[in-house]
Amino acid sequence: MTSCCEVTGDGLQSSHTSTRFADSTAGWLIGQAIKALHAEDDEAEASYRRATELLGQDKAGTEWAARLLKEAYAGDPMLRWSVLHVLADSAPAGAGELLAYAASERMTERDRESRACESPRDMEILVRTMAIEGLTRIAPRQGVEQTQKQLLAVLERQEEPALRIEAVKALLQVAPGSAEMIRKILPEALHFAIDLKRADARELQAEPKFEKQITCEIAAAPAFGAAARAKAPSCSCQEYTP
Amino acid sequence: MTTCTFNVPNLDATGDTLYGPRICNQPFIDWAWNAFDFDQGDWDDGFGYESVCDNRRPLSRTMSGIWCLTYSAQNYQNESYDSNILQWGCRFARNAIDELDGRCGDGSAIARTTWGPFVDDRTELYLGYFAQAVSLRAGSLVHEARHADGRGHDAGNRDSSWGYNGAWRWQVCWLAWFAAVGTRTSAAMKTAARQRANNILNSEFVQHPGFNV
Repeated sequence: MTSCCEVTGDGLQSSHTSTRFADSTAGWLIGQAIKALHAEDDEAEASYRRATELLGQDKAGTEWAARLLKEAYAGDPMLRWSVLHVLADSAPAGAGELLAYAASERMTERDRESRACESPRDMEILVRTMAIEGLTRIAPRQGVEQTQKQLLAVLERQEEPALRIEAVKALLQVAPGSAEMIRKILPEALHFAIDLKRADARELQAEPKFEKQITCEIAAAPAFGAAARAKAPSCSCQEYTP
Repeated sequence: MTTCTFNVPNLDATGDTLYGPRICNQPFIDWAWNAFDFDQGDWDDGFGYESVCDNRRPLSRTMSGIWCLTYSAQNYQNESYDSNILQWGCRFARNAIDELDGRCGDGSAIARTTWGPFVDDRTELYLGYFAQAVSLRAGSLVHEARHADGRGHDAGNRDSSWGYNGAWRWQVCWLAWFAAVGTRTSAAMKTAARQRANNILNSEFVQHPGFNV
């Protein structure tokens, strides 16, 4: 029996599978690079550079990246995104082919009738976006012509419009004379992507026009790094000041 | 009651290795718990109420999203609405969101906000939310907060235009500002935020805004 005000939510079990980075030198280097990529300390950048340099010289680098991508497939988009990031910055032999393959992977159909705003499908788009951006990063090492071919193949195979726009941006960055080729492949409705502007984020504003009337508000957070013995600010209502 | 399984993603790759220890701070937890109106019944039974510092659990991962939303501006204590959304995003979110609930979901959405007369106003976060990168979780909170304030989408689950000033625009603005000048974070969190902002610009507006970031 529950009381009138008791909240009952869902139940959750956690399943944890560790990724086997340490099974090879290349796998270990990918793991170290991912750790450094997601760290904030001063040494992280140098560690990342060192790990990707070594991975770039490892003949098994791409094979191990492919293996990790496959193992991580279910439910871990950010691990796949990170592997692709590392692959792009290390550029071992064959990296371009793997990045092009990952960028072209078929997406499930978008459900525009769904009530969902964001969905797990958006994370799949993000993973493929990283693969496309990765191709631009390896262009200086594997050659512009090869990269242009791979990006044109992505543009032809990938049906998701958001990813086709990413491929157009990448193509124009790698080979600025690609506009005519892009026009021949893209449907007219997407031709605007060729002239897409790049905005400085600092020019973007959300207009804080509120739908609801605010009369009082919740206090701001405690100071960053406040000692554990400090008291949290009161969450009671405070007078609203814009 | 629904029961589900959360396949814990790699902790480094989602940013939970970086942010997890930061949220493990009693004044922050006390403040966030009240500011976003968490309830025990929505976050126990495996969601992490019993172990808020365990970054494999949804509650810790939600707290990390709130931490990122709160402290990513260099001078985060300036929350004036005359400034940019990186400054006031948390202020808006904590005042607009009525309550935050952890739920299994059906796999179609990562979050959903219900609002309006004669309904229990609430924002539910689902398994896909907890698997996102920390910076994207913060962006999703801004999106849901816009709904919680009463602004829905005006073209199915898309916004008609940038000028509509809806949840997609707000999310893009927060992510773009974070990517440009966010602090106390990693290079990866910024790159993911910029890419997600562009993905939204390229798919969630009926009339494309005409730019990327």
